[in-house]
Amino acid sequence: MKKTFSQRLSLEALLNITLNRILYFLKPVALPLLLAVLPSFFHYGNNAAILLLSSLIRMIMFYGGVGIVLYIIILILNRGHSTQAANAAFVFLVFFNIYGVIYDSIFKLDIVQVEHYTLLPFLMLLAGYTSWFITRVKDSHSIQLWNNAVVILGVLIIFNVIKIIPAEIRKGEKTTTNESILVDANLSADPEYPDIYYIVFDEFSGFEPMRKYWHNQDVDDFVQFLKSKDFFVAEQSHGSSIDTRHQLATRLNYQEYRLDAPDAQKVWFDDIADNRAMRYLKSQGYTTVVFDEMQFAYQSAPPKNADYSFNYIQGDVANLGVFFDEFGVMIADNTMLRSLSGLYKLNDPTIEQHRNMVLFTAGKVADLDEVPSPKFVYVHLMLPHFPFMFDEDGNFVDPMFYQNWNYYLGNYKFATGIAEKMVDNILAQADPARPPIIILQSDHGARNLETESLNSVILENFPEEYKTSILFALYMPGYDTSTIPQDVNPINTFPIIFNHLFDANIPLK
Amino acid sequence: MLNMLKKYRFHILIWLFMFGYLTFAPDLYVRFVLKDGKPIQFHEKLPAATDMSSFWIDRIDPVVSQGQVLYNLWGWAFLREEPDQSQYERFIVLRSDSQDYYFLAQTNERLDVEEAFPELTIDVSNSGFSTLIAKDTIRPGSYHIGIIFRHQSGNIIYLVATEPMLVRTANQLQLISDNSQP
Repeated sequence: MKKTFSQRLSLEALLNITLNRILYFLKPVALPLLLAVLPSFFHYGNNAAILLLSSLIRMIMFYGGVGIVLYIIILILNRGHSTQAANAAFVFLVFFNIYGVIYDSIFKLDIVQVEHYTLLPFLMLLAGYTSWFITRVKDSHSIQLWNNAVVILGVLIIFNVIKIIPAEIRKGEKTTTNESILVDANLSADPEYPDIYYIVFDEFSGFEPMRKYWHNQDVDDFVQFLKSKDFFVAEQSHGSSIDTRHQLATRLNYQEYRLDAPDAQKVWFDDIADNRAMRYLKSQGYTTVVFDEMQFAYQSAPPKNADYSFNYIQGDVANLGVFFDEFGVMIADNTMLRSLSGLYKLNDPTIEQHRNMVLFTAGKVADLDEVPSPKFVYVHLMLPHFPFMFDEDGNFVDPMFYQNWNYYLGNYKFATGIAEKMVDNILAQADPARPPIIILQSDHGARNLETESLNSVILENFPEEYKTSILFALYMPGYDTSTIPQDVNPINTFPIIFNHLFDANIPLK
Repeated sequence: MLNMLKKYRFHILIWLFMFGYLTFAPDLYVRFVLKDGKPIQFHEKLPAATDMSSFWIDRIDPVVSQGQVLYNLWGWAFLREEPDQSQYERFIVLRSDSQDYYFLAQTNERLDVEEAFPELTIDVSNSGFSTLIAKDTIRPGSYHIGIIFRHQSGNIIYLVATEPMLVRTANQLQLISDNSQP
């Protein structure tokens, strides 16, 4: 039945009233929402080069939800006065977001005892009262406060977004500084080429620091183990820096990189992902296999170009179990959620994933029948790199010690056990007529780096020169290893092998 | 003034309760929540310090035990003339001018100590010790660390005075060591 003019008018009026009503409650939520997500934008903007956008999206969703829920609660308590409720939520969120900073400051001042069971209730009460006072401000002043705060927060977020966009674009681009590979045109693929295993243990200290600083005599057992298997062991090898990305780029491309070059990190990432050594081996008929944990430390590290990849992959956004990754933990530690840090740190499934990757790699590296030979197997494990989560038997230690360098030794011993297992497995399954080449290395030594965490404990009187002391052990039957000096430069790792195997005539540095 | 107090009595009460809570919460925490790291009663009179022991205080680490933040003090110590170290139980005593605190020490294996003293004929493989200390149970101040050896019969007690000191500040427990060893 056709509506009359008056019926249509009343329907439109009703719709208008409803819309206005919805806007009345929805519009003010912009203020607490902006403040709730600002820390995530700020911290992501400062670390965009090494983080994934999905981490930011997760945190925006989570803290946006916190802001909205807080607004709704205050709106109900404030009997529907939306602008005042928004201002009150804004004030409460200020306290929420700076709780961690206040806690750390009082803790470090060390004048007054501070505990979560005292500071949290006190600040919540203070935040509650401050929010309540804000709701008693006159309407005109409330609206003015809301307007000014929204503008300021909006500008801050836009400023951070402006920082983030170019970083995201750069991450998506690919650059390389590699020169063309010099390949001897007379070389031909030889089916009898040996399998090559390049195994990198991140932050595995050289043996001299182990003996002299840690007084760890077990390291001699490891050296003896390697020598009994006919490994050459360099006792004095040092990397040229303590940056993982710089070192891996240097060795995989056997060229020097400047530490201070523009966009250096991106260049290193790209040259690791598409590196000279693997391209050369591919040209020689090798199948390339990668076991890579680089993303455990550098989430935005691009995957390597390889025929087979077994990579550490952090859980996706849909998996709430990995909701608080390292970025999420950093944000949460600054807020009132810090008092519940045991929940989001102890149950971090990325820790379980890391352990699984280590154990999986230790077994699978020698079980690659499905991969045609000759194969080049690249392994990069973030072990004994922190978090120092393992004791020497591979059991988890409490998260409180993940950044305590007194727990590095347990992690190191566990790593030694993994290395021995890998060597045994590889040699056990190898064809005696075609023995493999095995390189055990570390990118850098124990760096004794202090972090911002209150649980960060560094070693006392740790010599600076020990930080670049690395593991360098080479198994290459048929090669006269007496020609390799004890202080071999690891940049020569692949030139030594390629010159021996392929007569590549690559000059050593 | 009285009218104001009457008008805001509810809010005043809330804040008084909060400040009362802040004042007494640490003591309540120690009494009702803290289970580990508490000092024990030690009734025997301590003798003068002996020099019959070799020892070392390694370090102090924060540790989480059943959700409680404690500190674990590590070290090793043995009596040089005692052929059977297992006859003695060990305690750690923290001594200041006004107060002593005693903690039971747990025995740990220390093969590195055995290797460091090859000339010894006694078994020192279990000379390591560790003890859990809750900082909330000791007053702020500086404490000398002592190691007590008490024979199982209870009749013989040795006290070893060490150089390192334990300093309790408002929020931390720190080991101050001058790396000296007898």
